[in-house]
Amino acid sequence: MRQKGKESNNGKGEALFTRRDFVKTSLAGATALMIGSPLMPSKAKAEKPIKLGLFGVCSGASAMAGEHALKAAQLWAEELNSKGGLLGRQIEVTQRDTSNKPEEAVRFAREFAASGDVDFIFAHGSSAEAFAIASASKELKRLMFASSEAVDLTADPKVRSPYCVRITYNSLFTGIVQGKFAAKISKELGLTRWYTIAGDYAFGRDSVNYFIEFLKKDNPKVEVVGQAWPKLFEPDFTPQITAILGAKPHAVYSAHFAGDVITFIKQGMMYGLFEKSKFVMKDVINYEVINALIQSLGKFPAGLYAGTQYLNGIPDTKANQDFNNAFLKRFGIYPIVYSANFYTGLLLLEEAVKKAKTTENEAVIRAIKDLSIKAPIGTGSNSMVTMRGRDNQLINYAVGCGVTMSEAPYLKNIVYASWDEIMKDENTWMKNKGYL
Amino acid sequence: MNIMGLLDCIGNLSCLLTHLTSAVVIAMILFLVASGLSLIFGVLGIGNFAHGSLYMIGAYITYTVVSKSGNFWLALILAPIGVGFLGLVVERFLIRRIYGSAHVYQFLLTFGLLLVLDDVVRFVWGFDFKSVPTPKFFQRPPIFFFGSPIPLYYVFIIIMGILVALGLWIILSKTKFGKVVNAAASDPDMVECLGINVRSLYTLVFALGALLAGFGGILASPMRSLSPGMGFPVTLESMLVMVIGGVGSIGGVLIASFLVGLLRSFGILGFPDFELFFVFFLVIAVLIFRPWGISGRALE
Repeated sequence: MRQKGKESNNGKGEALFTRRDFVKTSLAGATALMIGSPLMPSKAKAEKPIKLGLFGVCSGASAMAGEHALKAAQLWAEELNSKGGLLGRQIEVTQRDTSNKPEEAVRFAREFAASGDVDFIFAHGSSAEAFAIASASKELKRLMFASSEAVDLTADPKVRSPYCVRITYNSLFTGIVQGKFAAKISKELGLTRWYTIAGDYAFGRDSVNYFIEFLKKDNPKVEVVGQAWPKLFEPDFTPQITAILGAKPHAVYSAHFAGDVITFIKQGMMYGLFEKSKFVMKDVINYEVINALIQSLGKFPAGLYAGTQYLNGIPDTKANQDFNNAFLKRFGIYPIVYSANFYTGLLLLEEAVKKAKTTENEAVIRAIKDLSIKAPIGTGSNSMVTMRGRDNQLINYAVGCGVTMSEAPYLKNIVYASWDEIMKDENTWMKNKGYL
Repeated sequence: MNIMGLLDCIGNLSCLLTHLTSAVVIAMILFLVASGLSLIFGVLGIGNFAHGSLYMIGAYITYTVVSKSGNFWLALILAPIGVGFLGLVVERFLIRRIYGSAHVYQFLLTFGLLLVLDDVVRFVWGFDFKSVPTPKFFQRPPIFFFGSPIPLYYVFIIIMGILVALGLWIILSKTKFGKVVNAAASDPDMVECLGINVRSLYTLVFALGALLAGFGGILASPMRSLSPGMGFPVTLESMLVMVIGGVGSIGGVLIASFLVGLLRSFGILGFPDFELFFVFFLVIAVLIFRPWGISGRALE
């Protein structure tokens, strides 16, 4: 380095590196190093957003599930972000469409896990995808939230993953509640001949099996006179409807959901099916079904026995009302069961992160075990749900049965089940299966 | 398995008629969609994987017309025209580019079209389930025929299906247009040499096939729920029927539709756990023993 005024050149008249150049360069380099350094105030690190990676079915007949999951995530993120975020960090949401393929679900899970900037992974696809996710979460040791009602996801110790958390209802609990309710009405009304109809896939068959098990347990006089197993998304239930009419059952249990239950009711109405037998409908109390049936029939059919599923007013709590109002204001439509469950899962995540004071997966997994929070689907005066620690299964949500009516809230005479009773029956079932 | 239940039903007139009606209704909807597919494949040589999407568009146009006007009969006129016009546009700008191409290109293009149309439906009509009410005239209790309940709307579907089948037969066998279509299916070059614009003819045939699919969607819409992606299972079913009946044979498709309807309607009585197995078993049997179908022509 040479002093100013005594700068030499390289023989071509170009000035060499001066002291001023050295000082400027050194300052710039030191500043650049400082920005990445732990010595910098933590405010810069806290600005890195918390990223949620969502994936599931966003197209085809089940597109509604994906859309509502995304809306729930958007609402939750906006609410938190308006209050300064979570742990001072803004929430960002990104979504992928699995097109109902488990291999795509695993691919996205790995992609999110490997990307390094997705903090929490949420799957909102089918049961097949959920099982694939459970396996991937074990392998990748990453916390993943799954929304599938398949019992074995959390019940079977061989399938269960300590890193996979179920944020939806469990079809065994639904079967216990609806089966016992059906047993009660079957004794009161002398309904001994039962028919069942459900989609011919794992969820449909499991739903019916659990229902029959608990129906017969409480009323051994019941006889199943016939069963129909149409394929999922069947456009024409006429053969099944005519078979039910021919069997002349006292009552029918339908485990259809979404588009299938709409089609089944429309076609059944044409045959006068619902006047011939009593019906217990697993999944009809949901706006996606109610709105479509009102469009088609002019009013929602009354007089059917039905499980509670989810609506504005079911459960009739302030927490649920607040959620419905916020969702309606933001999106112009009411939430349905997918959005309510997903939102509940996000509330659980929020509390777990606050409790752990970090987004680090292992700490959040520990924090979420046996965590109870106020949620739209919660029961009791405080609307609480709990993430059961032994198997990462959501419990204490509102579940019951009632009778449908044509006006809101579309279900009356609701009897909500006692969770002590549900878990007593669940324990017996688990022991019989060898899971406990 | 419940063979006795099946035999009991066949021996009971009321039960027999109930399931026969059910079979005929399934057959009519299948026939409407599959006949269009068979026509397109038979004349143009194109396996249209997006055919069920045209059925879907027909149902959604019906939903819109009925929602706005409350008039199902207006939808019965406007929706087929709309789907036919869509078919015209699709043929002119897309399908025309792949005539004579390898089947894989046909599959790719039409499957891509299926995905695009599913997303168009989602974008225009939304992702939630839609429903078309049964026309007021048919909102009555079912009629009873020898003790067998038959919804009035199903009678309408059966009549419309028969009329369309008759109409197609007349057009394809008794009119000059039909003769030209049959000729073009056999030898399009010769037809071109005779001064007939085969490209325009193909456009019309595709539009007619689309119209038939759309008409199936219109008639089915009061019975079913509407959702994006509802067309794909219908495409698969139509392809099965086309294979059984024979490519390019409307009569064969009609017979195949009845066979599938009967298998489904009675199969569920005797074999509730696997009634679909019989439909696929029939397809396999046809492919092995009579690959050109019940009354199709042998493929080159």
